Parts: sequence; C-alpha cells; structure tokens
Amino acid sequence: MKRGVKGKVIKIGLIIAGLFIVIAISSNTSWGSNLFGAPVRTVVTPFQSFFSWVGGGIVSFGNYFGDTAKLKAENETNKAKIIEQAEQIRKLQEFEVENKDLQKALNLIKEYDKYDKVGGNIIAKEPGNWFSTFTIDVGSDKGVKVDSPVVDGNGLVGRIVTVNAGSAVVESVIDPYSKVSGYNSRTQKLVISLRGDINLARVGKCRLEYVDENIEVGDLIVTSGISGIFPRGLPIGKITEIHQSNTQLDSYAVVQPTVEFGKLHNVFVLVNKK
Amino acid sequence: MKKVLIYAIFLLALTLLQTNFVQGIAIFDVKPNLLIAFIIVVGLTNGSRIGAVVGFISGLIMDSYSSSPVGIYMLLGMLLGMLSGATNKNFFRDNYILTIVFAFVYTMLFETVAYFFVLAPISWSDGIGSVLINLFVSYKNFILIEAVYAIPFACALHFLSFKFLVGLNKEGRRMKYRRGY
Repeated sequence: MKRGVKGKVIKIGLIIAGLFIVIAISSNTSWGSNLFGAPVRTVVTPFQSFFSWVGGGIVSFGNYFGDTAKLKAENETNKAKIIEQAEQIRKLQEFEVENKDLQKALNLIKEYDKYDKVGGNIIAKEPGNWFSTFTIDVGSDKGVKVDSPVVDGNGLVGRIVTVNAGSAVVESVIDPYSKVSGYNSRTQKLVISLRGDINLARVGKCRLEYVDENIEVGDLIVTSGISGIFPRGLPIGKITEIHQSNTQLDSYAVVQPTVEFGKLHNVFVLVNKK
Repeated sequence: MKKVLIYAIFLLALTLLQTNFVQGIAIFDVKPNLLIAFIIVVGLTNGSRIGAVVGFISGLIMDSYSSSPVGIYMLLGMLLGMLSGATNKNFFRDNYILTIVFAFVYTMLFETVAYFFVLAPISWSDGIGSVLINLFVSYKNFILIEAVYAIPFACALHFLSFKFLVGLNKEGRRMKYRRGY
C-alpha cells in the first residue's frame, strides 16, 4: 500500500474509532449527549425561535385571509344580520372549546401542585423520520433538567432528554426510544411497558406490551409513578386495538395518546419546586 | 474563510428548513431529508474530503435533535459523504441522471444502515425476526417514499451547488469545467 493511502486509511480509522467512543459515551450517559449536541443547538436556537415566530405569523396571516374570503361568500348568500349572528355563534363555540382546554390544563396544574410548571413553545422538530422528538425554547436557565416530565392540558407528552441554557429536546411517548410504565385506570392493574414503535409513531400512536386478557378497548392508561420520572396518574392514552396471542409475551395493544402530537405547539415542563 | 462561511450558511438554512418547515410538505407523513440530500450532492460535486466534512457536521446536527446516542449520524453522515465523493469521478455539471440515481440509492442505503444502528438494538430483544420485519415495514412505510422524495431536493441542491459551492476547492474546480462529452 502506498504511504499516502496508508496514512489516509489510518486517519479515517482513527476518526471512526473516535466516533464509536462518542457513541458509547453518549448512549450510557446523559451528559455525553449534552456535551456533543448542546453547542449545535446553542447556535441554531435563536434562529429557530425567530423562524418559528415568522412561520406562526405566516399561518395566522393566511388564516386571516381565509376567514375573510369565507365571510364574503356568506355575505353574498345571507342577510347581514344572519351573518353577524352566525359569527357570534362561531366565536362562542371557539370560546367554549378554548375554555374546556384551559379547564383541563388548570385541573392538571392543580393536580401537580408540587411542581413548578414552565411553559415552552415548540421551535423545532426532529429532522428525520425515525424519531418523534422536538425542541422547546426553555432550558436549564428555567430549571429544566434531563428527565423532567413534559405535559400539556390533555396528559403526558414525554420527557426531557437533553438540555442546554435556552432550549431542551423532548422525547415524546411515541418515540421508539420512549418507555413508560403505567397502570390501567379501570382495572387498577400495572402495565409494565408502554413504548414507542417506529411504525405506529407515524400515525401518532404507541404500543403497550405484555397485555393480559382483562384489558379492553377504551381503557385509559395513566402513569404509574414507579420509575420516579413521571408523577403518578398522568393520562397517557386510550387502548384502541388489542392483538391477543397464545402467550402474554406476544400480546400487545395499540394506544392512542391523549395528547394530539400533530397539533402540539405549547407544552409545560414539570420542574421540582426548590 | 469565504468557503467556510458559504457552507455554514447552506447548513444553517437547511437545518432551519428541515426542523421548522419540512413537516408541512410531508407526503404520507414522510418528510424529505434535506441534510442527507445535501451530503450526497456535496460529495458528488466536491469530492470525498469535503463530502466527509459536510457529512460529519450534518450528522452532528441530526444527532443533536434526535433521541438516539450522539455520534451515530455523525459517523453515517461522514461515511455517506466519503462514499458519495468516491463516485464523483464520472460526474459532470449537467449530469442530473447521476444525481437522481444516487439521491435514491444513497438515501435508501443511509436509512437502512441507520435502522441497524439506531432502531435494531431496541427490537433486538424480540429476536432477529422482529428486527427484519420492522425493517421491511419501515421500507414500506417510509424509507422508499423518503428516497423518492429526496430526488427533487437533490436536483435543486445540485443546481445550487454548481452556482455557489463548486469551485471553492481544488476538486470542485476540476468538476466545474468537466464536461460529459
């Protein structure tokens, strides 16, 4: 082998070996992934916050014109008074939905009074198709830590996996790396493993393993609190399908999370009170 | 310095597009991966060395936003950039056919290897059968769609690359004046 080529091969080999060491460190420690990932997020986060804000503005702008066009169409077919009344009804319905969401969020907040709730906006989503993670605009400067639970008004969203000063990455309950233990709120039985599944994550669902014959479609699964990461009783999702097999080991159920991940824009991080 | 700045602007712009806006153009819930397309095109147009560096940095960006152990995408990105660069000997300015073929083939390859590094370890406890079934389902559900979806973005990046990036290094300058006839 020529000297130059040999040198190149050694260099590449050393880089690959170094990367394997990085992978080994970051897969076994949370500080490892923070150490390597945080600098990138620190550079990109301010831009992301700005673009997220611009994106939101564009959507609102588009919606504004959409609504105007809709009203004009109605104006042509109805009298002014009817339009006014219809608009009032629509607004009332919006307020009702909003009120219900806020009520739910408030109930949840009351339930977990021992935590400080830090509100965060989603500023970035995972670039690829394998994972269901997203980045929020609050970080260690607001007391957010690795493993802090993340919720919204409807229930458990996930947990923090990496954090730096101004941002944090949330691993949602539908992410393939996510594993949560819970219990069935109807039977009060413990369910060991609720985990993300790459193929179910695409449709916003996750998988409950080792199910027994007592489980039914519609059962609500809530957090057990056993892991010490999540508080007990947070709603995770409802059973939508059951796949029974000869053995309990092969039986599983599909869970539809109570959180609608496709419509998620804001979350609360639960931070232990000082 | 100019070279580093131009690559940095490209990477920043693609990262922002990938993490903020690409969700909106998903087909069958599958997002295109602009960063993978960029690594492939940079490798093809600028050679192995630049391809590997861009692949390494793009991988670091992907790693920092995912829940997988950091380093996997850095390694895969770097290897993809090197591999893509190794095939640039037959590449020339107007050759979009090669861009189309390699965008498809390399995206498939990248995601297949990524599956074995990132997701196979999770389902390994369920047995080899489960690992292979999940791979097959992943092909059906999104790897194939993602590979096809990479093509138009790779072509757009090919165009932009010849406009802004090729010529910034020696290998690229040779490429700039190479013709297919």
